[in-house]
Amino acid sequence: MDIAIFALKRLASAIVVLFAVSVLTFLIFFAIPNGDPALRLAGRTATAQTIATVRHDYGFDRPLWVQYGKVMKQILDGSIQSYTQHVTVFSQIKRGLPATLSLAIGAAIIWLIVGIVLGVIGALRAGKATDVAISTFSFVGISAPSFVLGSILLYLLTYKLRIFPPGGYTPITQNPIQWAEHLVLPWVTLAVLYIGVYAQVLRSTVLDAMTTDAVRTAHAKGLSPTRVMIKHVLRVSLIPIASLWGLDFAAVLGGSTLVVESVFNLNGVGQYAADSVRSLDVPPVLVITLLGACFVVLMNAIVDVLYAVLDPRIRTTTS
Amino acid sequence: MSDIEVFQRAPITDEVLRVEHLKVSFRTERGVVQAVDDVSFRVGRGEVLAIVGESGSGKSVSAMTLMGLTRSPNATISGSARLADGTELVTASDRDLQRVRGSRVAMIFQDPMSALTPVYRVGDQIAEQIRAHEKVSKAAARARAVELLERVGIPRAAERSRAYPHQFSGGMRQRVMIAMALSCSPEILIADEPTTALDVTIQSQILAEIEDLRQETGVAVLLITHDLGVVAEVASRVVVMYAGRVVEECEVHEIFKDPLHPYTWGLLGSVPRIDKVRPDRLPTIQGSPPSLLRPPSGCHFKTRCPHRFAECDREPELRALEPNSVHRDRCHLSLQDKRALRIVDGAIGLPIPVEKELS
Amino acid sequence: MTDVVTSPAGTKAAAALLEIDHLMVMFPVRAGTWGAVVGHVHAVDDVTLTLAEGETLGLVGESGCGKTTLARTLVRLTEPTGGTIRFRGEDLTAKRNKDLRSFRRYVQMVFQDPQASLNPRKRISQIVGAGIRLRGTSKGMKARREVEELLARVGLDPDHAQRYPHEFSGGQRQRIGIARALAADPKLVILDEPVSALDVSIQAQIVNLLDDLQDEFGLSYVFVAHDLSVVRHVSDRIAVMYLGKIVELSSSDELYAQPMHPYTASLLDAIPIPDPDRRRDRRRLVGELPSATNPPPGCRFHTRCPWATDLCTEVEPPLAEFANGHEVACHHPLNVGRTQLSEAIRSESSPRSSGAELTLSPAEAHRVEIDEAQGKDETP
Repeated sequence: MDIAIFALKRLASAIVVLFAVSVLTFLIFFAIPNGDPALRLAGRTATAQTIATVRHDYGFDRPLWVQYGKVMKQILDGSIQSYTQHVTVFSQIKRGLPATLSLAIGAAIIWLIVGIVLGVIGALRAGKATDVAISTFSFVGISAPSFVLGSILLYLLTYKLRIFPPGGYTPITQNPIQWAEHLVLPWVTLAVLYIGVYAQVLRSTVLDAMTTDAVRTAHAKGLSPTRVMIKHVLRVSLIPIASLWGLDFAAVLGGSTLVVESVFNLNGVGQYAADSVRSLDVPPVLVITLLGACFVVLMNAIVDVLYAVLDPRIRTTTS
Repeated sequence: MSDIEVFQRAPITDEVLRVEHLKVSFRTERGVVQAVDDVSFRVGRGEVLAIVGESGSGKSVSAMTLMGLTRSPNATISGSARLADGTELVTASDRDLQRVRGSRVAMIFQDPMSALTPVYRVGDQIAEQIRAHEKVSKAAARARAVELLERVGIPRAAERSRAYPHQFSGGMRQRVMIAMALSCSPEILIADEPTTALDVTIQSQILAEIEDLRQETGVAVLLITHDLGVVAEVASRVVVMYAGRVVEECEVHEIFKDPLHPYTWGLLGSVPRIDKVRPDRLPTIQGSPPSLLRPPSGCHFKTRCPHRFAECDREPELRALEPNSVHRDRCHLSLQDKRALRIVDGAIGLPIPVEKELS
Repeated sequence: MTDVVTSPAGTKAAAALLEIDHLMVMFPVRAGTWGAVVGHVHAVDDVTLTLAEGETLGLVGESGCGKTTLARTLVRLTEPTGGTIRFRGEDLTAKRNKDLRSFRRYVQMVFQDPQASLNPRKRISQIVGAGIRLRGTSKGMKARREVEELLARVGLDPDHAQRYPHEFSGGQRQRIGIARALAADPKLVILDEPVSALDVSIQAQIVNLLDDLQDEFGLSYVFVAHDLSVVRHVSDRIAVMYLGKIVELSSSDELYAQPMHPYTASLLDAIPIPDPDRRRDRRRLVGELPSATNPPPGCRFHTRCPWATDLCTEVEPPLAEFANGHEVACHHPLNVGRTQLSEAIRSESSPRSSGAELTLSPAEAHRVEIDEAQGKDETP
């Protein structure tokens, strides 16, 4: 009963969020100077007459809210087309999705595992050289912009040392080894920022957890240090990390892959979005933004459930 | 001085723990803190030894050191603490200590609300300790956990053993802690302010529970407390600590009827009593405890003691003032003077000195 | 008195300093993943109390009884959900935040944990000076001198005015907290467990200091504590609370000599006395505090009371008032004769939900054995 009400509330707020996102994205393009889509649709050599015809045919001379309604209807029935290429937006997205998912999922797994390992080592060696090294690495990773880092890696490892192939994407179904080779650098580039964040967050939650009364009790029980660390320190410290991971993964898929895809020329959804922004092509940007927002909203709900699964204090009520 | 000699005169024939010359200091940013300064005591089989003192007296640090819980790169620990079979706790390797913890020496803490790991069922947390020390199946360990919970007065133990710590009240959590501590039949139970965080009606339930279990299992209890009421209620012997040192040690009756150290007098005097006529003003101890970074030379209590004299600049030793007595204290006053000086307005206490604040 | 809070109705000469009338404070209880409101905690449930000028009222009870919530509501740190609080005849519950300003200097609070209640980034002079500014009369050098005088008065070195809270010990910090409260020149000080976090010897110093200050500054105190021995020492009258209700109200001495409510009696019985000859085979209160979200019907104490009858499970006892002013909310009070019982009247302070008539009979007539099984079976 309660859960149904809250699920409904949640759904309602999600719809409000998505509506606001769509309106804002839509308006931004009309606020951009020289953003008239009729110019692009009519082609380079169009006469003023052609432009006017195109403008009328596409309804660009109608009031904004009418245009918005029309675009949204097309998005919902899947028929929306790009203004610059005469293909449906969804077919383009479907084409880029494997590359984007490979990049985001791979990077998310890497940063979770490496972040946890570095965070725990940092906490166990707090104040020692290893800890200082990890912290330094973390802060460099957090502050290095991914296009800089990506470019450096590409230059050094691909063009100088020729270890990895230059940009591009090979589907996993075609050749798994090439798929991985092409993705190693993008994964690392995308993951480094999050590894830094996770290592630092986990280091401090582990350090806090190690001094709690509950952990003192665990030691007093005569448990081995390893068991205390895994069952009593890590198990509790990982709760916030798990929810952070869900939200970050959503954020990455909802937009952060854009730069990395462009640097490594992966032809994913992010790169498609970047190209569309560059050519002021509204429909793809609108659709990708909305999909991203949908995913963020969905992951938020999943994280809430995950939290309850991991922490009995939230799952079960005190009577 | 010879501790051994004093010990030999003591009536304890069967001891489970002997602590000798225990010293614990911590390096801090502001200097070295001598938290425990040459502490010796013994715990006899089945007795309740209370260590009494205020914050900073070193009572908790002493107890935690026995469990190896104060070990850290910043801590320096010396002296000796031996179990009945000669197992040395102070110098034991981490691995040896791990075997002793929870099985031969168990501990319960002040705040039961935070003492259990929040994400595991209480039955599993007890079973975890059993399985750390004995080769039994998970199911057998869980079954024993339920028995233990039942034994310490948790209703519907089988069902409650599957509940999480936050679903228990403070008193019930302390019962869970006691069940866990006793799960491997230890020789000594160290109880560090076990009832301080609890309400008074729950406190009396928990103290009664500990007392019942002691009688039933014969476990010796090392009770760390600041509350002289609790001491009177359950202890058989008392050690009073002040600023890292033992200042008095005796049978429980003597601490209330014949206290010999001025600090003990002050402590007894400043407790408001519901069983006596209420005085206009509560007797107090002037000032506050000394910094353990730079404790005063000689007697540690001299800065707050209205009876101090020239001799107090020399460190007094812990000694018995009467031959063949197990009542020892650390003060230069003569027995005759002590017995005269400790009575203030008809009760034991410290007089309020003329100067407002002693420096 | 010149600094009386102006009251439109005109203050009665003999009016109490503080009148708490049918005060209610309820908190929503949220639970589950989605944070749904599953009930309400009746933290303070229809409490009526008065405090005279210069009096100390002790407020005791175990954790969860509502004593701290009541104290916080008196300074409006917690908003009441019903009832009124009048300070010198003026209704404070009707006031908005802005209008409360002028009242705040008259009612000050001292908190349990001096460590947590003092801003660690402010110097002592600033912390104490804030109270003086609230009064709005002194500025500059004059204010500074007043800070130093106050510090000296509470037993601190005035030369330490420029130090930060962490440079002081627990006892000294509580002295700072007291100086901060006094700086506003209040009439009423709410002391919320002011000595619970302190060592015994320091406790006694602070209690004596509070005693002296009361005489010197003509203060009234509401002293909240769980430690019944300390409360007895400082209070003129004591109110005992259980699950949000006042169960007994009496002069301090009488409460300890003749507790009438079985709950009060068991609280007193549970205090360990520092005398090994008095190791008593006491009657131990069984069970634990029932849930405040769903309190037992009738008398809230009946689930743990050895004298409970059917009446107790059905009718909430009103406060019976005896000739000497002693009030108790119990159908079967202890330590009281039949004549006194027949002369008792239903107190005006009785909760609205309580029985309309007194139905008193002595506890001894209903003596039942303590049911051990009932005892520990109260799951939290």
